[in-house]
Amino acid sequence: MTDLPSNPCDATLVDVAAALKSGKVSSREVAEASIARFHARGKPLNLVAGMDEDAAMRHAAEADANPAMTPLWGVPLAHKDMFYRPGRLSECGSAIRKGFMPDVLSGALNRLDQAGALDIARLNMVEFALGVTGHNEITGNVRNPWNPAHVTGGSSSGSGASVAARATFAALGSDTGGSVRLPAACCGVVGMKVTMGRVSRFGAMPLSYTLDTIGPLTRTVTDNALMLSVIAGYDPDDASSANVAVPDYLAGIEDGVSGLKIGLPNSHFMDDMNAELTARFADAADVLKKAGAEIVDVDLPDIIQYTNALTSLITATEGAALHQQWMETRGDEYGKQTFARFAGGFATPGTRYVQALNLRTRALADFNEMVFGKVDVLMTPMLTMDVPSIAETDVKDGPNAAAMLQRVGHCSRPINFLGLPGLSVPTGFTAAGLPSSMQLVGRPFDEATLYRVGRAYERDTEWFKTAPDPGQWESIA
Amino acid sequence: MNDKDAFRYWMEKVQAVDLGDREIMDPSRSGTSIGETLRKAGGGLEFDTEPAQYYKLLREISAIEPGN
Repeated sequence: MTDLPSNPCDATLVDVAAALKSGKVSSREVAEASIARFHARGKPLNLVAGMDEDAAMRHAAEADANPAMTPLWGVPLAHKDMFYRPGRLSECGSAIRKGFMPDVLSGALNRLDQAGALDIARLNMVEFALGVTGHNEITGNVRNPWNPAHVTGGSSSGSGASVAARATFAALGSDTGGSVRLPAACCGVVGMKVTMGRVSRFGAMPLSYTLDTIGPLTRTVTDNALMLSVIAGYDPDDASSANVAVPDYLAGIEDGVSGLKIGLPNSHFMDDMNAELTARFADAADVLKKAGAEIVDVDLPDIIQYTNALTSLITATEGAALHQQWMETRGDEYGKQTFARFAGGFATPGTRYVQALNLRTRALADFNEMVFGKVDVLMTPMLTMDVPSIAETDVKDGPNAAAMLQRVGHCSRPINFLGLPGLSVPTGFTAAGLPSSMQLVGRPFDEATLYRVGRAYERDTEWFKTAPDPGQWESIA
Repeated sequence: MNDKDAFRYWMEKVQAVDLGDREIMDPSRSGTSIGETLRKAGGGLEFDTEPAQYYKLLREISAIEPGN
């Protein structure tokens, strides 16, 4: 274990968890530091939906008084404001759910509780998790720690920004069309979109029953593997939960990439990517090649080019079904873009919705044969454009909204349609000082191999050691 | 929204325009109809598939053993 930095918030999750177990630091000290970070950085970056400091410190004191060897004992964490906890608000970035107090405990939070983690804050998010940029007309936009004029990505905007700003060690997010991976990509952190059924969705706000997944955002790949090892597994309370064995994600994470075949896509994912990001992506592939991986070009099934639109169709249709009552009676309380996107779902004929769902079987079968018949992991960009500014993507429900949303979700949504695991890994910074990233896509339930590849890249590049400069946003009111 | 009854506003002012060519638009309003997208993707061509088959396939092609 490495020594903790002077402020424990600057440590990785793995290191702070080990320091707590060994008694080098107390849960109270770490919780105080995290609360102080949320005070200093939360307001300028608009990170926090709610924080109960008294409860956080009480739970930290209880942890210190009852030491345990559970994986996250005494570690303070904070999560997207959509994971239900009895007696605590869960407002989902909305006006509609203002004051909503759930009476159930989310399956993912339950596992984190069992692992000894503290849950100290609710983090801002896109309204009802419907949005890939991070804009929120109700609660305000979360700002990107690397440049506060730029978007965080969405919809787990507060999760991505809070991890990047070193206010929390890890945060849960949800990913329906990219909402874990895109904030990870825009904020320069690691985000895992898990296989459908891998993590319980019980007690998490629904957006799209057939596409929603829950996953962690962290500073490093190893931290992410630790988080998933805690939250993954079968949950009888979630009818869609998969009764599939959970491997030890940390066991083989340092094994390197020798002997692995990594595919680069011949179509779709590189469409319209700018020259700088193309070069950065090639550099990342080269790092893995030098580490011992065999890099192979792979063809993709033609259906991939339609999966972005099909994911949007399914999300809007299922979301509209969930929101119809509120939209009919409280429509003026929605943000314009949220309302327009859900409203579009009312126009989907039932026959077309079923046909779109049926296409998932063929798309997955074809993708499995063409990609995983040839390689172990597919490597794609996460974004084909620079992390955009808040102003240039503030399109609400205007005429440019659809094109912009499709562009941002170009690389993420196909993986939701397929239901495969996808890991967003930082690949450094552009000349403008904003994060670049790659996506690693694996076989169903093979998140472990993605961690192994991501860790091999991370070990040779160590981008996670670069922190954003607080001076550029601590003066923002 | 710019009207108290935002739902009615959207259905009358926006959706009515979208329905003009008898094709329902993609909910993301990309300018491509749902029908066109699905036809190009090969949707509706299989007679005997069903959404549940997708979940079965997801488990079949994974290399992980069932059960925790």
